[in-house]
Amino acid sequence: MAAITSISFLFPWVLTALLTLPLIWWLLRIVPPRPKSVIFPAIRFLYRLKKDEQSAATTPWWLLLLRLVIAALIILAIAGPILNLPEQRDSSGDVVMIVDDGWTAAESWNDLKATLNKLVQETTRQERQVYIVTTSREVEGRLPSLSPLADREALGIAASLEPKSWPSYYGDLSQLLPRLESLDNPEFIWLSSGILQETDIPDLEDFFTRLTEIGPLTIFHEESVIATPVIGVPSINSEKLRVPLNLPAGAAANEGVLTAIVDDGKIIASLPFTFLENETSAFVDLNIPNKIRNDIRRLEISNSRNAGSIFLLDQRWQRRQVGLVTSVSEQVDQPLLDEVHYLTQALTPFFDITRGTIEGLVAEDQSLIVLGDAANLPEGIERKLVDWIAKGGVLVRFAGPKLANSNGALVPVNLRSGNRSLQGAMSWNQPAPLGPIPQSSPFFGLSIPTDVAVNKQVLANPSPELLDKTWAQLEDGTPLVTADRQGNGWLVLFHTTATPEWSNLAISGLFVEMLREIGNLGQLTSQNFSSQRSLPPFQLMDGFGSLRSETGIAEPINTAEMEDLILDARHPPGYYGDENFSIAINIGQFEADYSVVDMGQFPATIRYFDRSAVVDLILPVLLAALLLVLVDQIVSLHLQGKLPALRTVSRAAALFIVIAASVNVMSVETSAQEADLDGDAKALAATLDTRLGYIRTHDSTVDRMSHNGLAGLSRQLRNRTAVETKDPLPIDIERDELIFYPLIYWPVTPDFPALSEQAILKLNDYFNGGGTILFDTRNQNNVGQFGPDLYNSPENIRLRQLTARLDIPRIHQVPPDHVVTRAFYLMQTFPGRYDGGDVWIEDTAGIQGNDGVASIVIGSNDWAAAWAIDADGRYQAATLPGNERQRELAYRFGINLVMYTLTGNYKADQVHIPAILERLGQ
Amino acid sequence: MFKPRRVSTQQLDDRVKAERLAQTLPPLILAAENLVNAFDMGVHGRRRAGTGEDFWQFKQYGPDDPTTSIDWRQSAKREHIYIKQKEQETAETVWIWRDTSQTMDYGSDRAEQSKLDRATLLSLALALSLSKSGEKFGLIGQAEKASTGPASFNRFVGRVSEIQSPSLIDLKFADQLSNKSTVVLISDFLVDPSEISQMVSHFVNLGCRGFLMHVADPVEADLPFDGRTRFLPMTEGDDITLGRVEVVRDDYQSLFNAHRQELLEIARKVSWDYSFHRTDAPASEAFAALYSALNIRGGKA
Repeated sequence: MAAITSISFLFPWVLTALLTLPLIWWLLRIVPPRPKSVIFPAIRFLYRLKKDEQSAATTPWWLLLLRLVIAALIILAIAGPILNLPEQRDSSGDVVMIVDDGWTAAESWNDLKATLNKLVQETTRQERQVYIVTTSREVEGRLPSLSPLADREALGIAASLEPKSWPSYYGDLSQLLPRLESLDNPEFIWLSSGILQETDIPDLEDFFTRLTEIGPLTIFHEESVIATPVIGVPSINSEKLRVPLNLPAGAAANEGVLTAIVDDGKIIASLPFTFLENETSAFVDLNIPNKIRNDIRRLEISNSRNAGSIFLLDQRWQRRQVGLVTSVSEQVDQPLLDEVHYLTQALTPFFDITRGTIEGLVAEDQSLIVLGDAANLPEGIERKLVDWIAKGGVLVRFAGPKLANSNGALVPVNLRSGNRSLQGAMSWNQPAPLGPIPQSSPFFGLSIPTDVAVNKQVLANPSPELLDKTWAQLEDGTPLVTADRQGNGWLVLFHTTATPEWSNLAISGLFVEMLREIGNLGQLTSQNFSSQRSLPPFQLMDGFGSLRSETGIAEPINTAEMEDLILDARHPPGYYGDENFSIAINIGQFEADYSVVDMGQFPATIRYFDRSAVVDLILPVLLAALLLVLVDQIVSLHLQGKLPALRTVSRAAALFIVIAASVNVMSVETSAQEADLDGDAKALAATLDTRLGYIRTHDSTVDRMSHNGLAGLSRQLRNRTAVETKDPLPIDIERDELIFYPLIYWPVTPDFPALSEQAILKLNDYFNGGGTILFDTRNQNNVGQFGPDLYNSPENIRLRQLTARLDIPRIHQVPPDHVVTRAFYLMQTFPGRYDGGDVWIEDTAGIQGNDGVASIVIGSNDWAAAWAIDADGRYQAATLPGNERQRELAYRFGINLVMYTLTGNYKADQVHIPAILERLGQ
Repeated sequence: MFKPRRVSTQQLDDRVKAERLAQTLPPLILAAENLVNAFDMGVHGRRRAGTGEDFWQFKQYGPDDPTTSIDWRQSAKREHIYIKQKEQETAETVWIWRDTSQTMDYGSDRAEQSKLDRATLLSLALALSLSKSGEKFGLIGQAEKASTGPASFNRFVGRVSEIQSPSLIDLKFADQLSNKSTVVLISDFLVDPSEISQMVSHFVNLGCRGFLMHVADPVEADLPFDGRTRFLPMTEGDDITLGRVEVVRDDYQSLFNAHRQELLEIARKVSWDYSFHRTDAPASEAFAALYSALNIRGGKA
């Protein structure tokens, strides 16, 4: 009924034409259909018939009705029927539409836009002046635009409006009030997303209160507001990426899946989360190996399409790689005295550590190498290091007894020979605490713990540039960390040890942070975050969370002013920078609290979005009328007897349909008889008789071939052996139980769907329970294309993916003395439809259980095709290269395999029969 | 060029019509031969003495024999007087009239051929069998006298291919008809019975025997149409539209049968033969009726 009531007419007065229908009825009644004409020689007798028979025929009542319906439909079409026309409002005057186009509107944008379109259409139809005000601020301080729109303009805006990726600011709206007051009898409509920044709510309330003094306000919003959590700034916590999620206050309980997506769009992790009632924040811990974690480019909430449910990651969230120099032969007897131990501990939170020799690390192109206390380096190595630094590497060295007594090459500053001891038997100095960190240092801003003291250090020779090279110093101004820019890289020296031997710096938190900052240095080779640097917009997010390359009016951001950044049209979220280095700006990093607005607090009429589009019914109604006219024509022809064959045609058609249907049913019945068994019936069928099974690929050709192949093999088994196998059964890997089948044939197709967790468990159980699966990639004919091992053929790739998570022991090619080669027939090659493919089988030597039966056989010879027979017992596929011997061998392989799976190592033991008999005899 | 079949009452050009008829003749002649051969008449004489050309027997002179018939040469050779008798030859002449009016040129899809074709076939078959049995025959309207023999048949065929036979009314002007000849009228007789009656009495007055072969299309006999139908005449006249033909079918059939009855009555009164033939029935039926009625005898051996 709803559909009927939502039809309205553009020109309702045309409907009065329906009153003429009785007239049409009368007209149609007195004008009978054109008779058929025949030439008739004996017409003289007809003249003598009674005259009143002549006009006895009139139009049949149902034909009359049909024609009346046609007439009515045409009248309806002229009246302009329209579905879902918004209800007419008779008010006149200006209409101001305030459209919430902040990112919160993205989730309900379709409905919002549909409603807006309808409202604009309706308003323009009523010839009222339309104003459209968008609430997302273009630029801070600029007034939202309010200018009268021409009809077309308004429709264009309504059709092209897109949600922005920054939030709405309602604070600015009140500046419009003076101009709104000047409008003529205005009416206000607010299309709201239902989610606002909490700070905006008082402003908005105020604004609406004053607005209602000017004119009536109607609020449209989604019936149930879709609130998705905003992803906050993730933090890296040793092995985990911790992602905070914030749900707008007042949102309903929510659950979803957080996915991590790498550069090429692959999802590498997804974790579900749940918000209970009244819970607004949650954490999701993504436990991902470091190397992969570095590839993550964005976090997003599945199935959401708004900019807040996306968090872009830049280099700041990537864990750095660091090379730690260790000597190969080093034996760690006392780890607490070993600098590698301390460095490892300090680097682990922020770095992925690679250990190796200097040459190895340089060769690996590590961008950061940490070198403990070392004396003079061999010349060749030193030169390599210098080259590497010049290319952009960062070398971090630590002082120690060895360095103190070397001649001081490859250090940022000239060192005095020997070391300065601040505490000892011969010194009255106290261990020195750390002094303030120079402003030019990357460590600037780190808090300095008071309990860190230095007992020993190496000293730098005073020089004019020493101060510039100092990154950290002691209280007395002697440098503790010095650094020198060499080429594109840095050479950094800690003037103390990496062990607590000289200073307890190595076990302080500051040490870890210092290393982290140096790590930033190593990656952002030419970056310094705190320096003034302008990053141009690179890829910007739209309101739905998609990245776009066009930057529009966005302006570069200044790295120094990141703290004060406000999201607006000039600075939308997205990547800023270039492809080498970019910084991500996300909605989630701005601490704004969003909440679902209770619309009841505003003095306004509340309406819901109506997503049903306005549908013009003129064309469908006219088409229906045309169709009925065609029907009428056919019926008229029939009445005139001009379709003489109609009866025979329809009879023949009916007969044909019946025959076709019965043939269909018959064929379906025979083939579906066993294939479509389900549940218990299938389990019974599988258990009451010995049956082979095949995995259903949902490729009907392959499945049919598998079925017919196993049917052919079963027939040969019945003919030749004591194995009485019935018809094979298809197996849905996700649904059906496998354990009933001694042998399962699995044709691997390139598009075989990935296995679920459950299916993998089931398969592993099946293997453990003694089942055997014959994987057949059926692509031996593609050897020419993919090489003899078929490694890169799509089927083999799929096979590797499918079996990657199965418990599969080592497999090897079938050895010449394997039981399969003599379980029933003696044979050494195993051709199927194709010949020559290698057959791999699980290596059961040394494996206990399962009676020595391999659980996996893999080949590419397309055996099912060689075995396949149709209902009449004819072979369905030619063998290649092809002769009957090959088919015979294929059957023998199948029989051997079934025998092998059923009898286990019985045949293997037969080898020993003579020996056993001999022993028994004696 | 594709030309739709034209169903028209319009008069076709005479030449075209003649050609059309000539085209149908060879198969019709073949069919007529088949038809005639099916009636294995065997050729035989009357085997009695009579007035004829051929010798029949010598007979002893009796007192009632004319003296002029004595064969003196034979009598001189023998003891008694003999007269020479010749075999009896009846001067049976059959005149055939095949109606060629417009209504004859009608064949519905229920019939094997049109009425005209069937009438032509019957005429040819009759002529052929008469020719074989050595009786004279002719087509009413022809200028020649009735004759017999293969040449005569060929001439007959030529006549048949002529377009117009005289109409029923004009038959009275046909001369050449000798007394005591037999008239075979093949027509659909879609005319007023009084006209037929008039014509029959004309022939009877001439002393002719006759045969009315009434040919009708099954459609004419049954009126097998349904629903609203407009009937168009083949000759001049108004068309007529019937709302529901099935309602008047019985009335029509009784009218048609009454017409047949009337024809039968006309024939019976003057002891002519009448036969009704539907074109969906085999032609042999009609021919059999003709054959037996005319009592066609075989020719000489």
